[in-house]
Amino acid sequence: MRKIYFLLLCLFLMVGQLFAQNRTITGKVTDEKGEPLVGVSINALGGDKKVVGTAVTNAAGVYSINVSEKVKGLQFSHVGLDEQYIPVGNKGIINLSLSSSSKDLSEVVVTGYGLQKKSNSTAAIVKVGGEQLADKPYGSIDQMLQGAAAGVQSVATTGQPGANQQIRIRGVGSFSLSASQPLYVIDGVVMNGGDLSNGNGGGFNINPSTNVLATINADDIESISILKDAAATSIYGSRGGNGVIIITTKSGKMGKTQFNLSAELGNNNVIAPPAAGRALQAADWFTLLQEGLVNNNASQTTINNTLASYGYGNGVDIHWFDLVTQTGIQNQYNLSASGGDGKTKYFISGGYFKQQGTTIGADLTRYTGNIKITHAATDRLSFTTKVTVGNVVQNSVLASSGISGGGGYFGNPGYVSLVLRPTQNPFNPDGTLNISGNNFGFPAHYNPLYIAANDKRWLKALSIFGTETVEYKIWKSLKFTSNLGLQFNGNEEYQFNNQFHGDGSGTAGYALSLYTRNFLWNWYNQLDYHFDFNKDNKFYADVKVGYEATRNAYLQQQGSAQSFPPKLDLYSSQNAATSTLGIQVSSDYAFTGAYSTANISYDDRYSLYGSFRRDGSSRFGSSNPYGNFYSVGFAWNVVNENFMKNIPAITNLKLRASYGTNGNAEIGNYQWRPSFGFGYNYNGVAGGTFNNIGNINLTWEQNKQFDLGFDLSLFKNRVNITADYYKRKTDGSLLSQQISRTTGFTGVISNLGSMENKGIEFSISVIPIQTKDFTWQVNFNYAHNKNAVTNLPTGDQFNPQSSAFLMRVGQPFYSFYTRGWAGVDPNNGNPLWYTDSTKSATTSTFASAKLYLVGKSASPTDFGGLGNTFTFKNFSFGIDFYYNYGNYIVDNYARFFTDGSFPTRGKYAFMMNRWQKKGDITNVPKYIYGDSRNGASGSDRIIYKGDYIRLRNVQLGYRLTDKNVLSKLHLSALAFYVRGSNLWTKVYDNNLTSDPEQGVQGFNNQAVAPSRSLTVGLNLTF
Amino acid sequence: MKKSIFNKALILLVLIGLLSSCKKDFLNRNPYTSLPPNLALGTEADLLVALRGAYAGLRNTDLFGRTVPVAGDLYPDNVYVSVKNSGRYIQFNTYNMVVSDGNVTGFWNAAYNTILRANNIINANVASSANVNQYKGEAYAIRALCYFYLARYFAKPYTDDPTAPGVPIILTYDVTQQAPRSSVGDVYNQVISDLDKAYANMTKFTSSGQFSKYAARALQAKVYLYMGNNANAKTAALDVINNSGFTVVNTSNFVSYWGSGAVRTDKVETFFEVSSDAINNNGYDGLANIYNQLGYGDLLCSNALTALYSPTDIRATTWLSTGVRGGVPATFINKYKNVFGSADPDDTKIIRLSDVYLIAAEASLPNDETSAKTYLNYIATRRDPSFTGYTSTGIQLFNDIITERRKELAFEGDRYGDMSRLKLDINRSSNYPAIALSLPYSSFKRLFPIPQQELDANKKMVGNPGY
Repeated sequence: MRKIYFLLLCLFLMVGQLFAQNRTITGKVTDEKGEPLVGVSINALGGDKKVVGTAVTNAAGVYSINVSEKVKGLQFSHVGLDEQYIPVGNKGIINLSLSSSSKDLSEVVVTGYGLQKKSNSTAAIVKVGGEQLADKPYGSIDQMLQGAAAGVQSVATTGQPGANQQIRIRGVGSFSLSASQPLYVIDGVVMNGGDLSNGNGGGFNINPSTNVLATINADDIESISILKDAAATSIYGSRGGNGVIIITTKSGKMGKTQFNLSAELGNNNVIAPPAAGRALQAADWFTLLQEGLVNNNASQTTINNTLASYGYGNGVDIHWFDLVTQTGIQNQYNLSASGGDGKTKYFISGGYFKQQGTTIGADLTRYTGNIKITHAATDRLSFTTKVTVGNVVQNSVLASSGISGGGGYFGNPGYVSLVLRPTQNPFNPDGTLNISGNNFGFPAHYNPLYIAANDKRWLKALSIFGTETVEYKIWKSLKFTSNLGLQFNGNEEYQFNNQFHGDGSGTAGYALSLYTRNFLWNWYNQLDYHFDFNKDNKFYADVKVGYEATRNAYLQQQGSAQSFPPKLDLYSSQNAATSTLGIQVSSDYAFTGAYSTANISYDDRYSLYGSFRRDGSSRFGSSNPYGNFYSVGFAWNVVNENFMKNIPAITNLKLRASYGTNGNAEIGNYQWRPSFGFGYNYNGVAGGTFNNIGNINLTWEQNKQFDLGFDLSLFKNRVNITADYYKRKTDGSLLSQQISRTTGFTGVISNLGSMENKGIEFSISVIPIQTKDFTWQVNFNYAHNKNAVTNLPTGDQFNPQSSAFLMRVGQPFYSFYTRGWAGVDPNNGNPLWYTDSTKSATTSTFASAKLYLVGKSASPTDFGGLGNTFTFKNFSFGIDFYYNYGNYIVDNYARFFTDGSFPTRGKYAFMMNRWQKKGDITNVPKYIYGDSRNGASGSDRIIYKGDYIRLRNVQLGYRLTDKNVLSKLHLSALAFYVRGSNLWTKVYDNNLTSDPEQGVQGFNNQAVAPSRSLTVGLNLTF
Repeated sequence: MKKSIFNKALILLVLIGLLSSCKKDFLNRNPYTSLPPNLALGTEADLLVALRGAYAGLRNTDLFGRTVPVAGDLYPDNVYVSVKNSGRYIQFNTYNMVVSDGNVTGFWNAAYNTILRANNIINANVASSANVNQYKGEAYAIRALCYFYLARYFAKPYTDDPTAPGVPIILTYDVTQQAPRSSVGDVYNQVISDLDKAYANMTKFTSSGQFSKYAARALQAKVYLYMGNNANAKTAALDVINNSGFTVVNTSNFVSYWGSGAVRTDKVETFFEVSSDAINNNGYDGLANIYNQLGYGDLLCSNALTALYSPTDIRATTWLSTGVRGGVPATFINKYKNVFGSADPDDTKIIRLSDVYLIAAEASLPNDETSAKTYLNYIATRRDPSFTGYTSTGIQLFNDIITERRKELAFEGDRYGDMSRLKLDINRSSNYPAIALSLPYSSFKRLFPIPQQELDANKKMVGNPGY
């Protein structure tokens, strides 16, 4: 690299000398405060915008450059500051000041299908800058959105590296789990987001969770814009209903080639569950076992035999949690080159990311390459080519992906670390792994160490995003854009269950291989027209008209085989004797849309916005294939009114209001079609049946949203406040209309339900202290959301995602429906439940307790982030918190580790608080071996408060600014940092048995535990 | 100038128009695995495909795939759930049955879904031919089988009260239907009528994995027995015994018979079984896995049943073994040897010749004790070489037949039906939870609850009392 750098330098010097005879221009470049700027690159540009000379400012900010007659202007650029182009004319001296680019960029916002001047925007859009995303120890960018923007809930379901993150913008907006995700748009292209491996119609659990965003390198991202209200999202019509996340990748910057190298090294440690949720060790476990047998009236002989059969007193005491968890490494290296001239700019990068999870066998490795070239062929015609390639290898542990997946899989390390007894020794006396089938071995639940070492479970994903954009300025105010986007995802997944121990032992090994391919193309053609009514740039309209078409083709090849030779290394299914599955599954969808927006602005004071879109989709029923969506918005820049001129404290004040409609088209691809399906085979021959009742009226879920907000800046932008009130109504949410089962079907999928989210969002950034050497900045955001189901056609109904929740009008969508736990009877230690919701009587008979809405919801009511950044001279210190309040989580597998129903399994530590004698006041019933009282079955005993505060990020950085040292090192910038992520978590429920972050449904499915990372990093620019 | 601008704009608009004017076909994405229903049932070949789909419906885990046969032995007194278990079917063990029970709901839904599949074949407008008649005959038998089992679990026995509420009889597809419960008598009459048509229509025997003429007749014998119509039961049973060409499984081929998970074409013993093969099966949720210690192995043989077998009984030596599970001595059940992953996982036996002999024996009573003993001993002596045969009479002979049924058909889901039609109280051995040691015939829990989901969605549905 050094060599290239040197060659390039020589090249520039030579070019400079060729033109040395002509005249000289000098000047001084300063920053906003008037301080001289060192190291500013100056490019002399010819008429064709080609660089014909360069110079750099010295320590005093002064430059001198020789220019020929050909030179028309000078381009000034500096890291972190905005470029400026000054025509040279006859000038001999050009002085100027460069301002910080963050301020300038903030004046433009990324919107659907283009950019917009921020002051004119009527929409609620939050931008998360690339600097907040770069070099973080997270596998995907959606994880980094946690706490970054008000109203954007980002929750993990598992600590598996590369897993899918659940994002909800302004609450849960759909009855379907997958349809509640926002729409992802990358460089203008509506992409397939989420889990494309087995979540997309697969039903396999090779990798419980994968994420297409994990194939993207966060360091390649310029910014992420989150579109929240209708004025921002309606332009996406039937697909924008749950908000839109627009990812913009980095572009080249004009100037000499700048290389950036960043490296990060560190490790990941497991965040152990709270004390109540750890496993009992041998002494306590046997105390319980013995007590349970006594309480079951077992004879002394039986007690002695049972104790002996489980290894009482044999000295084995395994700490399972420690054995299945690990300290994982965390590395990433990124190198990029950026540069260009007036005609051509480029950004090229490569990256490597490696994250080992906290559980044995879980990791993620990513290689990325990215190239973006923009070329202006003429003054009118320009085109941009972008190709991003990401290759991911993800190794997963066997675990659930959610409600149906079954986190209790016998091979899930998180689950077995609790379920295994402390006397089950994973090692034989000779140190080899124990796979015997007796009580001290692993007859039912497998030895997780052996499984992790010998089973395979991987994803190898190749993801390619290509974008080709042509822009043609028909005339100055009319621009034509044609944008073709391609997204290719190939997911190779493989599972091998070894032939000696575990699920594969009965079949002499078992292998499943899946290849899942999604190929999406998206093409839009658009006209942008800027109409200046009085040609004074005061009263104008920006109009957009476009047409878009998208098609996606999904294909999955499935193959499985069994009967392997008795060698663990021969895990490839080529070695298997019997092939048991070999099929191909396909599914397609298509969308078309015609759209238009208009934004009329007057005097930078008033803006009126309107949008309209007509969408068609293969997913909509034949009687209803097209839908119309619109929005209107209004913004008033109060600050530009005359009466505000006398209030210098207010630097910006804008009021915004908008209303609009959009939809959610995440319906199954063929769900509306009544169909006779095949694959219902019998005795090895093809069979079929009328399998889908269909609904030709099926259509998108409709979303109507009202937003009222303001943006306020005070004291020269030292204080910036944005606040919004919103009310968002979802109508026609997909629900299975229950029909008599005697029809042969359970329901007709229909647009039936309604739901409402309303809330407020508030974010503030303040710089309380700003001196020459010291700056303190505080960023705080807060969101409050109230979610309620507002219409159900037939009254109360189970939540279509899980019968853990019951939907009732007026209650939150994720309202837990279970029995009310009334504690433990102090007289006899029996579990007690309330007989019904009146809580007027209790019962110790499980079956006599009615289920009711226990007033607990899995959705948080309040959440947000608090960040502090301190900068002292060259040092910076940042500390960010995330908080989440008002939700509950349920321990889905509690009954196995709680009470005596499953007495031979491991037990939670809190079991030591069990009732022992009359008068004991405790929440844990009497421990009975083979307990049939169902104490740990469905009741709100196993539902816990999900409130928490997490120290998301702590970072100490140092930036080298001594120009002499930097120039000796041939560098233009150098920075180090030390960072800790998720170092501390505060929970608010003493009985909580797990980490509080358990997905939007609040299901603790014993997934991979989250991690705490410590990393050090280095960042070089040269 | 202005004009040329407008021209350019016009050209562009036309261009966009061209790009946009995709054909309507663009939005018409057809699925790869299905056809519109009106295109799927038009030919003889279509009916064959639909028929296999109907058989596949029987294999549902909550129908004959597992729940129905398990309920038949676990809900009464043959098998219990080990203290060390996978959490399945606990409610059948403890009688903690609720109206929203998942297995019961699954059973109900799967039965009616399979009835829909059968109805679509029966009602298909395809010209009659030998094959079409055969397929329709099989569909009649499938429908009869579903109604027979629905009546067995959700309604009072015919022998108690034929006018009691049965289950809705659905013979055509109507998505809006809100069907009331027909009487038990009507349901049984429908079953008999369907089996008559099945018997008349069918001419072929393909394998034990599909219904055939005499499989339908054998099932009909059993249905008559459940109706207390011994004369017709005996007539049907004798028709089967004399004319089907099937032979019973003997001592010599007993072990190999129970060792195989494949369907049979040799006309030995099995008239009809719901097939699971290497590819089309219920995976870990198959019947063999819940019984066999190589699978979940949750279900163990009760002491009472174990004690019934003499040590020389080939059934005991083939099907049972002793061991320890969850720290407790137990009798393991090895009747199903082919768990998921085997070359051919075990099928669910529905009707076999030994059952028909025992039906003939029972149906011969009370008039013809000699024949009864002949048919009974035909089976009993083939199972225990050292047994010389029953010599009892009167009520003892009747009890011996019922006991022999229990021993022969154990773990095939037969026991509960017998206890219901004979109105016997359930008294369980000490293997079961203390709270669930008995279930008298008078208990409301002797009927499964009509699922809550059905009650919610069907205003004409009346639930079973007590739940």
